[in-house]
Amino acid sequence: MSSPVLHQAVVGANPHDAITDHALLMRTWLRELGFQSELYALHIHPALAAEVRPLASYRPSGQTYLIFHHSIGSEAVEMVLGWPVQLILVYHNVTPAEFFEHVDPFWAAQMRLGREQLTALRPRTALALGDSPYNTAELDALGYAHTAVVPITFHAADYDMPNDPVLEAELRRTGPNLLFVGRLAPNKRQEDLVKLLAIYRQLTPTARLHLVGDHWLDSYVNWVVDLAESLGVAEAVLLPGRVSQVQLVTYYRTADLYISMSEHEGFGKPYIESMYLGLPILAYGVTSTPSSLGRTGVQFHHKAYPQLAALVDILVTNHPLRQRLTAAQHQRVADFSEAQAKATFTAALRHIIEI
Amino acid sequence: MPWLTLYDDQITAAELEAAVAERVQQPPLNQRPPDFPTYGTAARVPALPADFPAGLALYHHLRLANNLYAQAATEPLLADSAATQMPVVGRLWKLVRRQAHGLILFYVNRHVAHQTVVNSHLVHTLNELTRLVAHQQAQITALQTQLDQSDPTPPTP
Repeated sequence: MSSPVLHQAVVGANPHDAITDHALLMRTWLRELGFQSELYALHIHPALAAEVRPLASYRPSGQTYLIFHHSIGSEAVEMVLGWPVQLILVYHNVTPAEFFEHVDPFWAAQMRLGREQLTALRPRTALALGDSPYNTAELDALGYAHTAVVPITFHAADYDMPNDPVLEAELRRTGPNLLFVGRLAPNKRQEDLVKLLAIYRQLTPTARLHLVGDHWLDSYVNWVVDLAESLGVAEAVLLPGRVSQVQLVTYYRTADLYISMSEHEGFGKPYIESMYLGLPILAYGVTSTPSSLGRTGVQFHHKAYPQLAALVDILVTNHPLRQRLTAAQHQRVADFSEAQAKATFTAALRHIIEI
Repeated sequence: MPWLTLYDDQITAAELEAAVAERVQQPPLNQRPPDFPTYGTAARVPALPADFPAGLALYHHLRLANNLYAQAATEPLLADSAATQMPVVGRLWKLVRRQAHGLILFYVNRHVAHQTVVNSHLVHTLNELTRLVAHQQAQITALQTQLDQSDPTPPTP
């Protein structure tokens, strides 16, 4: 008897992309559970050409289910809905269109379409999985019947490496160093970190801000750079773009504080990275941030810049408090272990498939 | 709702808030922060002042500029035609046509995004200038009234 088949589909497959990584990990789990499983994508980065198959080559014959990862409006949804299969939806959240409405009509339209398609997918969905309680709550609110949380997992081995010595020396040259990791996008509000830095440097003139992440939207990158110049902190705001894994680890280990002003996070993997690598977290407590942090880190609930500058100063200089925060954060990492996520995923699948 | 959330066995959120409040009372943090701009926010359209009927056309154009500057169609228009409904070839033609539209829109939308950002800056600036003009007009009117009410008789030599 041949193995059961359960394939997955994503819109785009890209290296170091959280959704792609999540889908590849699920493929490993599915194969371990005895399924024939492949990952299909509408857009495939050349580096993943050997790993991922074109979505146009997917053939649904003989299959009952397809796992579909949803995060943005795409013609992939139309393709998926055109196939005679039931869906297992993995929802990574769609950024609200309002962040793009007045600056980029195309992205605003894509985000609106993503929300509409989330509703259109519901009647065909047998099981809906969110990668955070926040995302699953959205599915529940839309009337999805069977939902569960399967969190993004954390692989400690990917982070257990020595620092990049050249970068480490540069980062330790001056400080304090504030860090945020994430693509430069309006919902992440890196601009608000620049505003905070301008106020914080009145207390600590040597402070720097490192904004690590893809330069995804040119107009937003230009805005952040121009704002830094007009506030007189351009030399203290560093935008290295996407960095290698060893550089990423070095940024976390040498920074003094991980700080987020993000107004929309579907999960927030950098929180878990900060937890593991011993960096205290200060974050704006909205969307998925409270559930990702759990009972760790420090969250603020409105953006008052002088107050935040004072708070940053306390968190950078109060060493006993820093030690307690990092110890609690380190314990939290265990909640995102692969074993736990795989067990949750398998239990959710058992609701609809005999395994 | 408290400003901070913190789970610690030695300091509460309220105590941390109090420590922050104490620091904010002292220089340099006791200065009012600048009025920072925010990326991507809707422009605030000024309301037509009641005593400025001559500005009706100006405010009409300004309101439309605010409403329209970010509205651009970015999706392909791909209605079915006789060619797309032909057996076998029609499906291929549909695919090619969709790809061609997508390619054009990829480049066009880059320009649309750039122009929308420029328009956004212009509309924000026009709104603020209009607000400033209205404020100054009100001041001029008030000063004119004061002037008219002052003693009209010229000083005697």
